[in-house]
Amino acid sequence: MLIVSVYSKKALPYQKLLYERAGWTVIESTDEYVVTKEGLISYRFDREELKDLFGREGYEVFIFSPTKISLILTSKKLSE
Amino acid sequence: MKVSKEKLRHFYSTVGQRTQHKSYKTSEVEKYHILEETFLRSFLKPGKRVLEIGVGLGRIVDALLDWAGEIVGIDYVPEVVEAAKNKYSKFESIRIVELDICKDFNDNVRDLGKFDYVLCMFNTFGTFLKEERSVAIDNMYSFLKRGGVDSFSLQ
Repeated sequence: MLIVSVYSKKALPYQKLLYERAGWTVIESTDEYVVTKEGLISYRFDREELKDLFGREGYEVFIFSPTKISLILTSKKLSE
Repeated sequence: MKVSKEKLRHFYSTVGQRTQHKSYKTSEVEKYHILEETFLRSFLKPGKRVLEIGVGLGRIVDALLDWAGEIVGIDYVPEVVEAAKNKYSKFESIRIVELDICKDFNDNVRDLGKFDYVLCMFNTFGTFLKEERSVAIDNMYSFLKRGGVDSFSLQ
């Protein structure tokens, strides 16, 4: 089983706070991603995007939101 | 937006591991980490083979130390790989490998075998460049054993 955990679309203010605390400078911020001067790019996702990216024939995908800022996707391989 | 793989590599080899340290974490991120680890420990069956993508300094490995049968952690940043190798050098069930999940693999990588669980946690996937995603997902899927673990239901 594949397990992927990502930031949800609601994470932006919390990402910014974390980066600020880490001493990084946000130089660009959009609905999709944050970029810091230090070289990090960090995208955020919604359920549909994840489903589109990871949904494949022969896999069973499930997505849930354990916190308001995160999503966890599980994908189980059903056949070779 | 000007971000390159080389810049990302430099970021992770210098200041990029800071958010793993408790002193830098915000309460929401702390909650994210705790729930992530709690989910893994309650959902993963013990004694299985686990591959972690973007092992970093081993937060997830630490959480699964007494849980997984074997853990292989991969990372593409040499300095991080070295630090993780040193940290887990005494653990026979843990192997750290320098590998970029976003690149096409050669056959050597297949020596790692198949895994019951492939993990990519704390927005590691969100730091892949958009053009890398498709290859990364193909590669992650290629490491999976068929079936092997039960389905579950969470609402």
